[in-house]
Amino acid sequence: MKYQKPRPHPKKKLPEPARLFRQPAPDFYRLPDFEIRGGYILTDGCRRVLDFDPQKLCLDMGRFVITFYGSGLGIESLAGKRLVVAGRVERIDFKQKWGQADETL
Amino acid sequence: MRRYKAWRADGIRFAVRGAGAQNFISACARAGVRLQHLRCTADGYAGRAMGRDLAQMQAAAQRGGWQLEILARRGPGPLAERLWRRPGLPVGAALFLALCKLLSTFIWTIDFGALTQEQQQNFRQVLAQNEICEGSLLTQGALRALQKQVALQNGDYGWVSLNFAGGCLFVETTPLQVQPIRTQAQEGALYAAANAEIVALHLESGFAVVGVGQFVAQGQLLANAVKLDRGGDPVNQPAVGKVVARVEKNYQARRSLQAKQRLLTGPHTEHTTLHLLGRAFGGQEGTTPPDAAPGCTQQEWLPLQFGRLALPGCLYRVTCWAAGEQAVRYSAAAAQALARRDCRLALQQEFPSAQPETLTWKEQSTENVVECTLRAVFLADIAVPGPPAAVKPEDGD
Repeated sequence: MKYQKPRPHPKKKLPEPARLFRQPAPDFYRLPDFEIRGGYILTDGCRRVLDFDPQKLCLDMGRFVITFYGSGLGIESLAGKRLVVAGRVERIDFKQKWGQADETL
Repeated sequence: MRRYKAWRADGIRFAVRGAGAQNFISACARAGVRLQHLRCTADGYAGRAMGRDLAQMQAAAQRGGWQLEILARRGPGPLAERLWRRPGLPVGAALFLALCKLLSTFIWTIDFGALTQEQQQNFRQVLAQNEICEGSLLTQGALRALQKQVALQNGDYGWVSLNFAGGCLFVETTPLQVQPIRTQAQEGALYAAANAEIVALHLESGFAVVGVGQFVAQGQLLANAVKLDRGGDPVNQPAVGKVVARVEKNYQARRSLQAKQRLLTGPHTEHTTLHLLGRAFGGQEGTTPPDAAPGCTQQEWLPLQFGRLALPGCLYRVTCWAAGEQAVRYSAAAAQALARRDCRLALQQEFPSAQPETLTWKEQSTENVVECTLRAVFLADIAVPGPPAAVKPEDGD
């Protein structure tokens, strides 16, 4: 078998200090935050509940209006700005309040 | 979520109705109310919340014009709710119990039982030597050590028991009962201690030489320890017993009207120490001022009390009086009484079992001296032990 010269490993680039301490993207901390835990969806930063029925749950998240679509939707817990969504979620719509394009997840 | 509900103290199930009822949810969230298990109903929403947030929910519903209905509530009930409004009550009760548990390790009071005031004072000094008084911290180990110390130091009681329960130190004692143990009598005879007339012979052993009604001289043999039998052989039996006789004797004492006595001069110092909760505040315990007269120091333990309630503390006060040599001039009557007392003391010292029959006093007073003469007729045991006397053959039977 012909000897194959091992390929040299690519050298890892050292982290650049300027990159480490660079500012995050604009409105990074204002983006909606979701977490799926035990069949529930945890959100942080909910300002208001705009609409609520078993098929649709619409939340005001600051710059975004997020709408959960599904069946048997409910609010398992709401404390301050932390909201836990229960039920079967089939679709989540993101809509910016001031004239940006909608996104669907 | 279910685990959280398990320890929830007070919970309500509610339903809210009205136009735009979802805004009630947002209003509650802004007010800090935690809502749970929110579900849609036909005309509104239903959910659960904590009972303590009910007032805020009702206020939010009233502001928004929604109808809030309490479907069910569970938890400890109205009593616990009232307690929640006044947390000082349960916290105070818990604090009281904790303090009772903690403070019960301190001595609040000492129960001396049936001891007299003088015995209590003596016992307090024994306890003070072991640093025990009201306000001291006393554990079971220290109590056992104290019991041993008290048993060793205290020779006035036959049995001493210390029990500590509920902040009270119980002292139980039994009086000391002395049972004399008679040693084996030595070989010896009994002789007369003074000139007397024999009244009674109470010999336990030995051989009487004198009889009742007989006059004896000082140093005369009363009972011998040796007697010859019919064969001329000596029979030894130590002479033990009492020989009661009527004695007539004079005692004389002189007292000067002027004398130097050590008297209290008036100034005194006080050192007070507060013993409270195992600590001592104030002066140094057990110290006496340098100018204090020996034997003129008074120690006091004053337990702290609030009304009739004992407190775990006491004041230890040491008062020392100064004393000095001062010239004292007695009156004639006082000097005469002192001289009489000296005569009685001399009689009591010579014959401790004396029972006076007749006491005749005769006093002579000069300018500075009172002389007292006592002529006493009394009954007393005049037998004093001595070596056995030799027995002649003709003295035996």
